[in-house]
Amino acid sequence: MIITTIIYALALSWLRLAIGMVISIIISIFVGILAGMNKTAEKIIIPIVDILQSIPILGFFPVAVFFFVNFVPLIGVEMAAVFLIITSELWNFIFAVYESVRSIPSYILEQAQLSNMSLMDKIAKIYIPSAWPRIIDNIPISWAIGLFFLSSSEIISLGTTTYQLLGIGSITFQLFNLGDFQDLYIAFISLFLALVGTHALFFRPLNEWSQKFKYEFTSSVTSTKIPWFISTFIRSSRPFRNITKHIVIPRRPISPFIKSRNLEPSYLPPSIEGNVLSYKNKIAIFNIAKILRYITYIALILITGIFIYFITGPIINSIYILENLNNFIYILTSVAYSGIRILIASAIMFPIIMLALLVATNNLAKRVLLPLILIIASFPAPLFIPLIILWFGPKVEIIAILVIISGSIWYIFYNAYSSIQLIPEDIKECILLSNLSKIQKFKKLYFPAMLPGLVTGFITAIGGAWNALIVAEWISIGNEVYSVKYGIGKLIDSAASSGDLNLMYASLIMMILVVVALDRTLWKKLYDYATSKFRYEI
Amino acid sequence: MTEIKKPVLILKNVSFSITSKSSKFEIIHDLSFEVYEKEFLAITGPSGCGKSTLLRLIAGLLKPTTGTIFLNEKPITGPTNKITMVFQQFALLPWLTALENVELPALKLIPDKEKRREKAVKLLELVGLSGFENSYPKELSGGMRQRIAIARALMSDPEILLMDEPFSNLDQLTASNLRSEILSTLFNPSLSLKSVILVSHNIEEIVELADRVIILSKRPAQLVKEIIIDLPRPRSIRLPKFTSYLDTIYEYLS
Repeated sequence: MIITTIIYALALSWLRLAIGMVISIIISIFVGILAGMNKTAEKIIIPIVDILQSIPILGFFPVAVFFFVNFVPLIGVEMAAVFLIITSELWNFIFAVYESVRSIPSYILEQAQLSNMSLMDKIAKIYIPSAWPRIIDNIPISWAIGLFFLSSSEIISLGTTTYQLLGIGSITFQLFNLGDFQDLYIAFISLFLALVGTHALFFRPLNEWSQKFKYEFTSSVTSTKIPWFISTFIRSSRPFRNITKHIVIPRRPISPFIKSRNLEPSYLPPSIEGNVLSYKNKIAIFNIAKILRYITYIALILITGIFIYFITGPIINSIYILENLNNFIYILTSVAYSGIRILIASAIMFPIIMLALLVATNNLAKRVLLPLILIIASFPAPLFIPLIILWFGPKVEIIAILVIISGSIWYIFYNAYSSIQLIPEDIKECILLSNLSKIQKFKKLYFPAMLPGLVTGFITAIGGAWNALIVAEWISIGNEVYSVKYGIGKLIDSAASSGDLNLMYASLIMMILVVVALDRTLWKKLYDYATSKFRYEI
Repeated sequence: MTEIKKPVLILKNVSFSITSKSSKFEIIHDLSFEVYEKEFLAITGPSGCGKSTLLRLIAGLLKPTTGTIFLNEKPITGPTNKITMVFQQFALLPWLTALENVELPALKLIPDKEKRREKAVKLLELVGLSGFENSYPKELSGGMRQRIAIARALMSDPEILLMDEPFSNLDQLTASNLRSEILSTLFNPSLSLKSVILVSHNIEEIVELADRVIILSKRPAQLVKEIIIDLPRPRSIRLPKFTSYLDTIYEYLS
């Protein structure tokens, strides 16, 4: 029975996602709390994570497979898949934990300091509980992102070898390859139901449970007016995060009576016993903290070392390849072609803002469409490829653009939607009293109000589009290869599949350079402009 | 200002309730009163009693559950140019200049761009903001922002101006300056404005400005007392009569 195979495949994919997510959350709790507590660690970790999250991870997949298959026999491919899921989710989780730790109200930390809590107690009783709501908020979108990457990575060819895992991604492609379209639709419906079930039975109750950890006073603007699953989209699409922005709430006590940690003992109960005890405690805390810190530093140095060891070779080889002007121009042209595809996709996606406007201003549309959009948005874009080929024929350019669109359009939708939701009530009333026409309302109110969200949404969408390119520009199903002529995604994929690892590294490096450069210059300026000019004063 | 007893606005048995999933909240219960020409009416009551809701009913932003509100003997069915509002938080659009903000309510009303601009400039001058036409709200102080909002509210030649705690978001000094000018600004002969309705919980503000005050009960809001404030202007808080009005209103409030 094909249906049992489909359910089995779904279960395997779900299991990989769950394992990847649990590992991501555990790592993020360590790294995020460290960055939130310690200034030095913060200065190192946050910029690195910020860069890593803007890099198209999918490009690394062939490298990861190569590594795991060669170094870990038997379960190497499984590990590579889980690794890929982790790299797609980890950064979001780290930021969630970090930002939660940074926004713990100062009086709570002051209280902890006064009651002489040990570091372990602080982590267990304050830091981790404060981080839960944001971690749990992040689960649905991370699941969607993980599924995106997993579904496109269950089949991978490196050189002459093809590695395959049974999962919902590989089974859809197989069914398509076999021409078994009826079962293909069954697979899609099963995936849809699995997503609905996961949302209803797992994400929603989890979210309700996490509410109890929220501080009353730190609720962000987004939390009251916007459904939780949308605020996740918004938070994870904040393209630029920096350290200074989060130092809103002082971490150190600002009370004039408590100037520094060293003064602490004098505020303890006057009994000598108490003082001695707490002094002992203090030493113990200090040592645990010190040991933990050293362990983390050593781990960081080790990881960096291993990382540098593995990337120096590829980088040197890449430089050899890029030194050849023809290669350089060829790779750069490929990037340009891909960029044009992203631009076209962005132009096509633009009208989605009208849907956002409708959903945000019409109650009926909101009730009917929002839950539906949530499920559609968590549907992995790469799995649309067989459907697109089925419906439109094997037109590669159309596939590429449609995959880009289906992977990133919801970021634009949700951000535009939430921007409209955040318009203050009195401004809405004032516009109502002004008796403007629909076009005037759009021009003067809704469009400017949407701009910050649009910029954020588009930057995130474009960031995601680079990933989608790697899936969309070069598709191998069975013996067929659907490929565009030029494109950076095609170059990376075809190089990986033909075993030309050096060309693959060079293409990857070029793409990362272009993406990071665009991020740091153009997008950042646009983002700063939009978020400062169109902010409401309160 | 209360000699000519000609009602501009009439509230007749107005009630308003909201229904949530299971329960029904009555916010305003059977309220009737009139507002006369050239009158400055103040409405006050315990916090959360539904004062602001009442203003939104008059503005046509909300519809009464039962009862009717008449403007010039015609029932109000929705927002109209004849009734405008000044908000506590100013409600200015941050991406428009002072002038563009003032022009907003007249975009449809005065299609001619030149005429519209001319009128907006004049109104900005009236509220004392000449020279700030091209400034953005962000660049201006709270008092100046509220002046823009007042100019904007006057742009569509309203007959009734509603003010929802317009001074409570300003610092003491700015608020008292603005208050001392507001009567001569609003009842300027060049304007068509007939009456002003001020919602406030600041009793001093009410005695300083209003011809009459309506005191509401706590939710659901019902009429507790109507007091005519018969004091020569400008009114000073040092006068014994001023203080006795304060005491009377305070008594009914508590």
